[in-house]
Amino acid sequence: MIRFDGVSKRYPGGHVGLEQVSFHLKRGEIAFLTGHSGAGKSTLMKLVMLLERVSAGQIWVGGHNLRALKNSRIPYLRRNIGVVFQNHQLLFDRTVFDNVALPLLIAGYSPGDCAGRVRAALDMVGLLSKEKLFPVALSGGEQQRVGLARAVVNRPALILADEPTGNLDPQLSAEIMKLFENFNQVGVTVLIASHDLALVARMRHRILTLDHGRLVSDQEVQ
Amino acid sequence: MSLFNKKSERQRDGRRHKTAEDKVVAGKAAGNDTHKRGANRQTAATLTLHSLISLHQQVGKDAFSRLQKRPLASLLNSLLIAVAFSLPVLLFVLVSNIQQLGSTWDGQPRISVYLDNEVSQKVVGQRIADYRDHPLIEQVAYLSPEQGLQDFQQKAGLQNVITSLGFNPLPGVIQLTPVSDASFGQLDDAVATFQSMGGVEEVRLDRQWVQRLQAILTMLERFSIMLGGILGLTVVLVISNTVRLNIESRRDEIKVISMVGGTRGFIAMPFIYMGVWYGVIGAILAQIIVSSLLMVLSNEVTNLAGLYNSEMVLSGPSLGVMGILLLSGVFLGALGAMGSCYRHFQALVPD
Repeated sequence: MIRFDGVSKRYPGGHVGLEQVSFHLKRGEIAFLTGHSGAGKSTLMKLVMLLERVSAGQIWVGGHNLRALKNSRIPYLRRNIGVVFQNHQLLFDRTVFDNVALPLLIAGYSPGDCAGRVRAALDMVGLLSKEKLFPVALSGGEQQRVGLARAVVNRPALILADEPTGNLDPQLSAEIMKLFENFNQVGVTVLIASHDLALVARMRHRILTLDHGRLVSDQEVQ
Repeated sequence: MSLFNKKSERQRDGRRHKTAEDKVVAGKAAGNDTHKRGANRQTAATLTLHSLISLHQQVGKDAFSRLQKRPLASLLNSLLIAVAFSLPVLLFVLVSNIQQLGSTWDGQPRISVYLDNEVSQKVVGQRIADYRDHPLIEQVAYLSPEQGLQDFQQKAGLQNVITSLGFNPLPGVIQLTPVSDASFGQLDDAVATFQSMGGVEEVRLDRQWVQRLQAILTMLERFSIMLGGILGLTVVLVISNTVRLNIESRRDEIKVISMVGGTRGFIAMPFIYMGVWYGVIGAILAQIIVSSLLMVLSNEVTNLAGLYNSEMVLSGPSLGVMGILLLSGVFLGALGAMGSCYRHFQALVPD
């Protein structure tokens, strides 16, 4: 699903984001991406979503070489990737329902067709009863779960999560991780960036470790 | 996009726990897998006319309610646009009113033959006969000095001046109406001939002032169009600036939409609708401004026209002009918004 081949990313000014990173995340796999902050986790995520372009090397996502992907096709790539952010990036002037419906509207569904899917996604994260509330009225954990619902509502083949539990206490973190595992069990490929090593170790999945932009270890599932 | 369409490997069986939550996911999954191919196809298929129309309706409504949320600011912006619109329209309407006035004289230039003061009645009769026989002249009317004096006294209210003169300064006038297909060249020749006839003081072809008026009006009309162009640019800039502020304040939203796969067009749509709304509201306000100003002016115009013995009524902007104004509002609004989106998305939308 995701294949990196000798990928480097250097920023203007000489800062190195990634250096010669190669790995292959197969379809249906779940993996963690760890490393201290500044190690390149976010850079890697951004490259997969084409928020940034590589400086050297090749990336394949869903069988597509990202180098060959035209700018105008980027939005269509992103529609197949569900993203979850640390600060969940919800729109605070819209209800929970409208936040989750956003990817569907973008993909061209009429508002009528959206409702069923949005409710199913909210049901999955246990927030069906809060669809009419605004994000401000939710707790941090709930907001994160809304972000999760938005990421999966369009049934993406790949979910990327950048520090999805960054602001949550251990119990809420575990709940969120459980949700990711659930999605993975239905065939969705999941890549989670997290610096919470204890949590990552407990989950017993493949762990990719970055350090100063280099991939220093790739532990398969024990 | 046909990315990710290959059938995914499914659940790894050893890891399943049948919790309640899991069942929901599993139920979803069953649907998910069978629909996976369909779902992607459907994504393209759902971009039907119906969903497109309902999307536009919703975005249009949202954009309008955003304006409503800050009524004063929106009104002031729209007024600015309205003022820019109303100036050229007002000028244009006034010019076309005067043009209409001019056009009633435009078609048939008249020739006035002013006679010598001491001309005899016999010569006058001869001249009238000459003009009647002339192939270019259709109608001949004689206005004696006495009649002229009467008319003059009635019309201009200058009774006292004339009486105080003690004599009638007005010459006899023969007014000639040329045939309608006479060219100005032919008429100029005829005027020269008439000038040389006995008993004639002066011959005037009264097209000159019509021509001058026409020239002035044409110039004013051009000017109003030019002014329209300049102020149209103002409208574009005002709208583009307003939209820019809006883009700034909705940065986060733009980023999120872009990250979940919104195309630039999708992201730009609410802003373009906002520009169009501003343009339309500005155009409507401009019509109200122009109509009210003309209403105030119309009394004065009727008075003035009365003095010139005319029954001119000031007519407001025609339906055509109003339509053009409204279309300009839509067009300039969209243009300003698109310009703004084009410039400011560069930094915000990562693709």
